[in-house]
Amino acid sequence: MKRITGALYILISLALLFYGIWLIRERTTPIAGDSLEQAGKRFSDSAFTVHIPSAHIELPAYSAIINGTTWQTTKRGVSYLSTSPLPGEKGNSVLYGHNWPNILARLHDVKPGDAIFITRGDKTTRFIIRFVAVVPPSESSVYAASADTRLTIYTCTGFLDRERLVVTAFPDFL
Amino acid sequence: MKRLFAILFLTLAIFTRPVTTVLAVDVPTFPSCLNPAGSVIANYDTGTHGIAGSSATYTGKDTVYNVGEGLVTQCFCSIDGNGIQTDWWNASSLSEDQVAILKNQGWNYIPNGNLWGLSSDAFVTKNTTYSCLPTGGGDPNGGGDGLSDGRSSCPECTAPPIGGQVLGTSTGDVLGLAATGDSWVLYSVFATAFILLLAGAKKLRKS
Repeated sequence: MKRITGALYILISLALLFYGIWLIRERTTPIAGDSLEQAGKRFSDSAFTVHIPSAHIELPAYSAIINGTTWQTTKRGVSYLSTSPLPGEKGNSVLYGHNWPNILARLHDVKPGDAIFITRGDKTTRFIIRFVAVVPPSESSVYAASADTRLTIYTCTGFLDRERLVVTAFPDFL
Repeated sequence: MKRLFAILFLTLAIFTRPVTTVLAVDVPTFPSCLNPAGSVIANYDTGTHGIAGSSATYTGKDTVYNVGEGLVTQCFCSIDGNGIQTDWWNASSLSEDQVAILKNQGWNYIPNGNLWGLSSDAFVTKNTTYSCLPTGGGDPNGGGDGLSDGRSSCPECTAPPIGGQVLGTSTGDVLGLAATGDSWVLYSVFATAFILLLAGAKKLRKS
């Protein structure tokens, strides 16, 4: 009986190990380049790409909504809160994504003054990062409406993702 | 067997426990200096400023917002890009015990706000840091730096209230930010696998 139980434990642990490896692979496999192109084609009304050279981030954005208190998230790029204005339009455009190595983990590398490029179709808008902060998850003011034109990008940070890293940027097209 | 389940339960409890803090005082919500709300009550594009709870002096831009009854948020951005947000909470309605609890949570007690340009009531303050774009005396929260954000005339600027039109729902001021990590899943999977592996190996050895 002990042998069967022991074997069962080891089998389950191996299955969990493989699952863990699969999770790591999911988080580290680079987002395919064709996703960047498809982002513009599939959701032509709202999708765009996000490029942050200083953090080596280049990702497609996918429209997302908030269901009740649950934010939709994608594993294929960054999520764009579709109830916020499009980047470059007046208001607070909100983007967010997993802090996985293939998504926004390197957002930690950015600092005020760095550039963010948003490309939608043939048009690219350059934003300059003005604020970088770590806030608690309850800090809803960062995605609140604003009278200005701004871009807010955030991801998880801290031990067991207990906090949020928030980056606020402003366009410099004038 | 019981010990195994106890270890498993303990492991999962550690990694999945909700992030909550037991508070005896309901701390009001202050908006972040990244997107400050309320009306500007003081604005200094440059100069030397004090930060409550710190004996040092700081040079840079300082903007103070009235964000509610007895609530003030001070957003300071130094000339080298170090930002400090100071949340001021009028402590006149707080008991000594509540103030003591807040002090234990990192709040500073200011006996007289008048010395800081506020009312003469006592205040409790808390500082958090952030990074900001140094603008050489310009306006890191708004204009003066050539960037177009529509907030250049700061004495008149009044940020919109928290929540509202971004989401188009009424949950804007109660909803937190999205969970965008899930690293606890990864840790839990590997921790459980490791424990089961050890337990399995032990059982096989005994048999």
